[in-house]
Amino acid sequence: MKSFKISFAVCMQNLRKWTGDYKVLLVFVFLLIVNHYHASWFLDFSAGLGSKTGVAPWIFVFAFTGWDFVKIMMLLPLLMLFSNAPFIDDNQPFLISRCTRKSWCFGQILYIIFGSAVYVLISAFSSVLMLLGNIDFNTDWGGVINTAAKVAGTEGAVATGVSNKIVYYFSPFTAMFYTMLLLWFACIFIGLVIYVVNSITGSTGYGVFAGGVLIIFDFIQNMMRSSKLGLDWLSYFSPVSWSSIDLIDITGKRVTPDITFVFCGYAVLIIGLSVLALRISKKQEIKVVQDV
Amino acid sequence: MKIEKNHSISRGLIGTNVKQIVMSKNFYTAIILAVLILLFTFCSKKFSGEQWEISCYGVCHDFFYLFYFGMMPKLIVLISALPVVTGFCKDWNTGYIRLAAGRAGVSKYMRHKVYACIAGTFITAFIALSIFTLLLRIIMPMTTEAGIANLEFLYPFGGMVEQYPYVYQFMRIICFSSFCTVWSVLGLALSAYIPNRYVVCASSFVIYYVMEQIFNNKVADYVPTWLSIPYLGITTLTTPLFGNVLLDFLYINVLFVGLALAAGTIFVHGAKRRMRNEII
Repeated sequence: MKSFKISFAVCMQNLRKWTGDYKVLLVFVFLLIVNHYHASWFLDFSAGLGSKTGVAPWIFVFAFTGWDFVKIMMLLPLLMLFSNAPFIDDNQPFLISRCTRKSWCFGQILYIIFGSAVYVLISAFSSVLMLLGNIDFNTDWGGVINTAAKVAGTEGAVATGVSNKIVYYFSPFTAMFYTMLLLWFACIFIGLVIYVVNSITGSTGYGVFAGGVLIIFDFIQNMMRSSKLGLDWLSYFSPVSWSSIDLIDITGKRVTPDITFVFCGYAVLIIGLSVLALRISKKQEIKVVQDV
Repeated sequence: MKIEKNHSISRGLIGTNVKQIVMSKNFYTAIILAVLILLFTFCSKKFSGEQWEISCYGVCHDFFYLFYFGMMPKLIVLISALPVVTGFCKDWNTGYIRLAAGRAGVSKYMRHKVYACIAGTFITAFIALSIFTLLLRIIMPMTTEAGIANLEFLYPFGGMVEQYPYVYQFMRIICFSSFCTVWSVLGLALSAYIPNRYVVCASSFVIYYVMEQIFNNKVADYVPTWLSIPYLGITTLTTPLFGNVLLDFLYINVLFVGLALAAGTIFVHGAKRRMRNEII
């Protein structure tokens, strides 16, 4: 329990550093821009329909289901946020000398978990923020999203990922819950990959590169899936893609991963990477990296 | 003798700056990244069978569509600025600026940073877009009759597509590369006030996005065509500019280089203040 408290203190100290960090500020500016770009399609579509009620605040779900750059651009700031993993700044050597390596490393993993949660919450919140003045406060999908789903396949609707499948099978709350939960897992996974790769290589570049490759692979997988080339099985090997609820198999055909596979897959990957990070930290060289 | 020495220092500074850019791996990474992003977007649109029938329209048409929609121009602006925009920031944070500016003089050092930023951004964008055009050219013709018939937003160079498709493409690439330099130098100007690598890298993208939104939503209706900077940058106008292709081409490039130099003066002013410890 004492060890956990120390780890939690390490994690919270890292989170408190966000307030004076330009990089973190920029990450959230990026998120606002991407959400604005995404929301603007819905607002234009709504204006085109002549809708006076506005757009229901659930568009965040569709940011991760289209093939456009929105998903990539939502995840790229995350690479920036965790780019300096294992987060060894001037202050960390003093911290490590006051707590054990294991507690310190576990604290950094906790930081990735909490940092990812904050990232997801702010992403979701900013998607609602971008609709301010045009929100249709509705527990249903609302007229605009329903219409967009009906015309899915036509110009733009594909780009924003408004699919019939999501609107038909999920209620807005369920869709939001699963999207945020799965995105959280994906963010933790990417953060841990950056952490482990950076710790092994002793640099900050390779981890970001590895994270970037995972995100690009999701994009390629998505592209292949929409090309109808019969390469849907690629989605089993792309953990970042599992964060799109559009991909999850709910019909039982098993062409794409089902929800059990996704949860088990994320659990295995996150626990596996955390154990690996803890093992590496035992012999890790403490090299202070100036993050400016 | 003194003039000769000044020239020699200038040449040295320009040479050092150009070497810093061309020899850095960031330069090549940026070019590869830009080409890959262009190719990915192109392939995703082709595979998804969205709104365009690519194979029958040609390079000029598809290049136009990639640039007219969405995030593409912003991403190219961001990527082309990456190898150069952090130049001042690196020099300041490593302390190299004391040696370089001390030897060459503060004003000269600052001016050459602006020139290097303009040249570096232009070269990066130009090479990336040219490679992409050549790659597209391998799989499709420059233009087709269907492509010409479907080319909307024709002005200012659209009239050349039919007879001189290569010149048309070359002009568009040059105009867009000049356009990229404006945002890159604005990023450099910001680096004089906030010498943070991340802020500086992202600033060109953020400034461009915000300015474009303000322009589209608030200003566009009140501004004449010859000042519609976002549309001049991607050379997609709905009305003619001056009616002469060469004049239009010169005007667009002079405008962008002028704007880049204006942003450069902001940088020089800010960097001088920083050197005098007036900005903390």
